[in-house]
Amino acid sequence: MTTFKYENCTSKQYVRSKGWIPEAKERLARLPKVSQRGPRRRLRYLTFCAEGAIDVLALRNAKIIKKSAEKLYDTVTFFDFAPQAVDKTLRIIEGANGFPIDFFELINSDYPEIPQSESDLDPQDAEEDDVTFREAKNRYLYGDFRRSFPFDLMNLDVERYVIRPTEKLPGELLTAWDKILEWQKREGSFGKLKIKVDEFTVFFTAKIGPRELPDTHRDNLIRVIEANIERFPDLKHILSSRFSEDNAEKLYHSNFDEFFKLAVPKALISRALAKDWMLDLELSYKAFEFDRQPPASDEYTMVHYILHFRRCAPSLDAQINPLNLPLAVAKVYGESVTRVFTTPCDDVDVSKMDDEATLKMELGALGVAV
Amino acid sequence: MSEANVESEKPEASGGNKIVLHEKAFAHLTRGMYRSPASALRELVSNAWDARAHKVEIRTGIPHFVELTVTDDGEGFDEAEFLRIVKGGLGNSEKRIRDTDNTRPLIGRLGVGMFGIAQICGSFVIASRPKKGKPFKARIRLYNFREELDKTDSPLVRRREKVADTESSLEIDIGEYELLAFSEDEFEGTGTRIVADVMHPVFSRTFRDSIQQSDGVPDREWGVAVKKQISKHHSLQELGEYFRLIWEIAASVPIPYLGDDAVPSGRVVNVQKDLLKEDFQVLVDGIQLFKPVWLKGNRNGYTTIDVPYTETTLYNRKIAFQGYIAVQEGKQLKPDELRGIMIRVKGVGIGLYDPSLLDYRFNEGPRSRWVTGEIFVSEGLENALNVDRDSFNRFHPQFRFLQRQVHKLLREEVFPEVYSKIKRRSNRRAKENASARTEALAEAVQETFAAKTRQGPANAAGMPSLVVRSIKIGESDRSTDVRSEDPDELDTKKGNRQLASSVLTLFDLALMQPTKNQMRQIFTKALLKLLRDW
Repeated sequence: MTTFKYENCTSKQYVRSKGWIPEAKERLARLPKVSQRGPRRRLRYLTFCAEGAIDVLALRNAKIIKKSAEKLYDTVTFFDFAPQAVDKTLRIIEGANGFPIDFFELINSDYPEIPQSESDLDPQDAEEDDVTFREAKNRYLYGDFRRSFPFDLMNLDVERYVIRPTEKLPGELLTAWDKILEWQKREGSFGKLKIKVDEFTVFFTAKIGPRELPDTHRDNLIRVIEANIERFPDLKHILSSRFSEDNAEKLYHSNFDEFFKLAVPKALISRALAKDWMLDLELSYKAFEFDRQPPASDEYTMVHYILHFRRCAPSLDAQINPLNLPLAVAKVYGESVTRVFTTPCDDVDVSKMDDEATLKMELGALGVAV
Repeated sequence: MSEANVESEKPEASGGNKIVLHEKAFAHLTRGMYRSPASALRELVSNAWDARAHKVEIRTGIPHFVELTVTDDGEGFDEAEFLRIVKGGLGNSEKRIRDTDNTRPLIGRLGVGMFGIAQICGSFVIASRPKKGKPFKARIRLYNFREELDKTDSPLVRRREKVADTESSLEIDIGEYELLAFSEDEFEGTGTRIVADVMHPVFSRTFRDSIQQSDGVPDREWGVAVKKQISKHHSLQELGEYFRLIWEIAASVPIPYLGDDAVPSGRVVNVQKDLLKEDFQVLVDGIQLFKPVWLKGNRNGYTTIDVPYTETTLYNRKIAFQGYIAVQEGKQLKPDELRGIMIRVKGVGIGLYDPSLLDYRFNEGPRSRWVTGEIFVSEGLENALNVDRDSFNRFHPQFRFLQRQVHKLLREEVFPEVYSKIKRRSNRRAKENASARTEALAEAVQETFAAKTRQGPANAAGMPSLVVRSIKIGESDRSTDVRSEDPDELDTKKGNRQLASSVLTLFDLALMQPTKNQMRQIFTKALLKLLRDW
């Protein structure tokens, strides 16, 4: 059986090259300086690491990720399921913080805060077996992951559906997103450096689908868009002019892909707002899509979003009733949603482009045999 | 011996009766066998060596330490061999068949070595892709059975139904294995990988805490770690468990030195050549390891001797070894763990450096803390290994023989040379001190009495004297012939003699002052100046 080589994909490289790199540079340029006259602090990056860590290498080649004085990628945190996969990646990005566990299983656990220096005693009433050890392992990793926040740039390239039909609302991905948003507000301590971020960037990737969603999920997604249309009536016109439909339900049935492409970023932005983060309108909002046809699998469409967030001003966390949006925040939110409604996905079809050779060359420079 | 006693030792029946060890004793071996995680990992590295690997990568899972991976690119072993081991062949591994082109001495114990990792984890996965035969992947879970086995009705212990004379009558379940699907992309070529993905929380916690302390993580360049980081600390204890783990692995596995000049006088040049020829690398968390020996930069130098190649046969078994002993003159070795003698059987360190110098029975005081050395045993001594392969039966005839040879060298060559160097250093230092003190006397005389001086002849011990040719009294110079007395002529403690001689010189000069008051004043001034510079 031929294994599909995701890392060879020139369409994905197009997204990296035209989307991720320039937007990551924007983020880098906004990082605070370590001291008044010193350099900017190094960018902190969370990723699901492509095969060969090519996203990290691409960011390194663009001088966005910088190694430490000891030549370690110690500002990079990544996930992979298996320890051997983490080992393989560490050979390429030595010193990175690798988590050998399912991201969603970990982040959606709920362990109490444990101090960094573990002083908890061994359990008195637990068996000394795999079950106890696994529990301890997850607890350690959970604490370590929480302590690794905040990040400046997160590449949530999950290669899966945003919502799986078997999941309960809002789904494990959006539950994880909520926790990420909460942990982004932490003050992290890295050596002597204390880091708190007021703004960050997300590269979000997902498969379009599945088309057969259970009623609860479908209704929820429709409601999310309808609520916006009710609040910001201009959106209705945009919807009509772009898709010839004037409500979300009709769009869902007539053009699921376009509906999905609106609903996902919209869901991310509205959940962010609930956690006191709003879209940074000074920076771009970008969306890309391309089709994939792995052997022995149905064709599917990938969508990539680039979203820059910043803390709400004034902060909703300080509000007695966070549902009462301050005027300034409500304005930004409205403009954010409008931006999502008016920005079409850049349809990446490398075969129609004249720079495929350049993209292949770029992949070659990242160590990928094309 | 009386006739009655002799009579009582006569056997009742012809032939001896067999003494049998209970199988439960063997069952305990799979857990609790190794002194430290490093010892267990050393066994896996030894297995990799035997499998003719060129690279072993150990990943400790830093900074989380919740999983540990050991991967080698050796020849691997097949499913049939794995099943043979887990189905009763544990502790009875057939040594890998030596190919004609395999020049490496075999050092590991495939089965027990493999299971040693169980000491620090709940279960582990082993995968191997052999050159020939079926690749496999399996999860192994060993029981935590210390108490369980002591129960008379333990379900883990079963009596075999059909037992041949040569077979054990009991079977002990020590754990379970489960064959998993082997994926072809597990390995690029051949090799074996062990993934301990359910580490014992105590291991995780200890190592996590250890990297928080200062200097808890070695530099990426192992050479820098050895030369700069470790040299700042007396003991590896100060560096923590993570650093200690890496150091112990580096010290015990058959890898090259940091250079062929790591030990002075070219004592390891040939060993280094042999090790480099094997092209065997061990990496821990991406750090390529070398033997952590670097004897350079000591002010007083080093005394080194070869332990010459020695070969003999004892009780029909051959032992052959050679090595070196090195002494860091006048300065304690750092870290402490480098002190003593390391015995390497076929390149693998047994235990750590033995600071007792293999039970050396003479007290050499602090000098014994300056000694390090390695004995490379090319043949024999394996039967003297205790079951943990981390220590020796000190009464084994081969061990006793090696011990005698080492002690003879220490007693007759190493320490006499060390003492002789100490004496030479003491004499040199004494002369330097004497000259400096004569100089201090000259300065006190010149400054206080406005005197003109010259150096006089040295005494029998080579201590220079001072001659005062003139001093100023009032406004005029007065010539004198005051000479400092030979300190060795003064009947006082040796350490006080030069001071007494100098004080007398000042006294003689003070006596030349016209009044008692001036005598006292100028003597006091000169004495205090002398004492300041002494």
